[in-house]
Amino acid sequence: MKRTLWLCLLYLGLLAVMVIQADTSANLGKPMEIEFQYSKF
Amino acid sequence: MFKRTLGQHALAAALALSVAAAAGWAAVHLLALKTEAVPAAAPGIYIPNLGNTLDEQTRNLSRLSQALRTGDRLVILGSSELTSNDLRFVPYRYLADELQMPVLAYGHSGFQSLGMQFVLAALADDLSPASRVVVMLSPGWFDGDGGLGPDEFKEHANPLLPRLMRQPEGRAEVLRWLDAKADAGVFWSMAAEQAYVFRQRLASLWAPAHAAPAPEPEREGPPAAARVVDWDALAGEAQAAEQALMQDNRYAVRDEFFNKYLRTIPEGGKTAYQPQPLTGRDELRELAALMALLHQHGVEALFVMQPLHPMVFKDLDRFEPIQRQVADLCQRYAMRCMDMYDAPFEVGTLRDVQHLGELGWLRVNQRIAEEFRP
Repeated sequence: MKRTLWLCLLYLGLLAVMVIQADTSANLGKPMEIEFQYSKF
Repeated sequence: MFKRTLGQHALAAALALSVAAAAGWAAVHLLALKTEAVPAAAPGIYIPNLGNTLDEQTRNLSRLSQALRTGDRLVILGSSELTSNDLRFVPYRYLADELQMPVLAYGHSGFQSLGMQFVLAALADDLSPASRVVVMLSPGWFDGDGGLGPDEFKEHANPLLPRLMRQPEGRAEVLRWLDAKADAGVFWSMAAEQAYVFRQRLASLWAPAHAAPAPEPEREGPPAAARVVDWDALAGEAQAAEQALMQDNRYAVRDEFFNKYLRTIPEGGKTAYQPQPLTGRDELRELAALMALLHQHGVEALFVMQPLHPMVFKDLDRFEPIQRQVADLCQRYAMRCMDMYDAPFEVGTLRDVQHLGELGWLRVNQRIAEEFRP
């Protein structure tokens, strides 16, 4: 039981790392610029 | 650790995932983006998406919510054409600054019908006949089968997921899209988004309100005033402004664009659409979902189908079946529609092969003013 709890803590730790690292997908990471590229030619 | 059995790992992982699932359930119900009172803002606002941080997302969603609920601000949803912030007649500059019509424009490249449906579904309670909404449609969205891409889903839908899962039309479209197009990367980003919100909510518990940075002062807009607009005179000004930048090429596009993209291409034979069948099937279904949502809440939005350059492309008539279906949707859902694709081409309507120039935006502004100006 004790071993299982330790493992549980390990996985919760991994989840905690994910929470700490997480960022919103809407963060484009750069200022918006005028978007005129045409790549079909 | 290496002496643990597989069963122990599985049990521990299951416990941890259960905790995570419980936290996710709490996130859906307790950590959804909230709307709140926002300070007065400049009359013309442009945002490419909800924002880079939870605070920005809350503020922008609140602005959108207020604009849709009260109709005090025109909401324009579009894609890359909205990034033309260098143009005098882009609506969030011209309508806001010269016509005293407050505008909130939302979107950038890749923001298509379904992305717009998500944003509006997340604020469905604010939609009413008072809402003033303009949707800028691009023919390119319908190329092939069309439809919202994964990157755009992540960018525009992820911050709104908890709200969307509580709204019937939004939930149905999210689940349908996930079933059709989602991969592991999308599901990971959805989990990461909720983890981000969870973390920010926790962090805010440690940051007392008095320690929060003061909100950025917003530019005051000009006072509201009734004005009579001479659209013909303005059209002359708009066309002259574009033509001045189109002196050195045969296509009536800006010289800068011509030199970069068209100069080395042999004349003739340029196609706007991919060789594969042009069905627009996915995009049409998503456009129908958007119109259905608006119709259900009594919003008579204006849909503007933008043109492609008839002096550059030779296959523009391939779009006709889609055009007819869009017109049918407009009729079925009682939306107001402006078709610039078929309108007689005026030099200056487009700045390049597909983005509205000064004259194009002026025509859109004129129609907006006719439809929505109180």
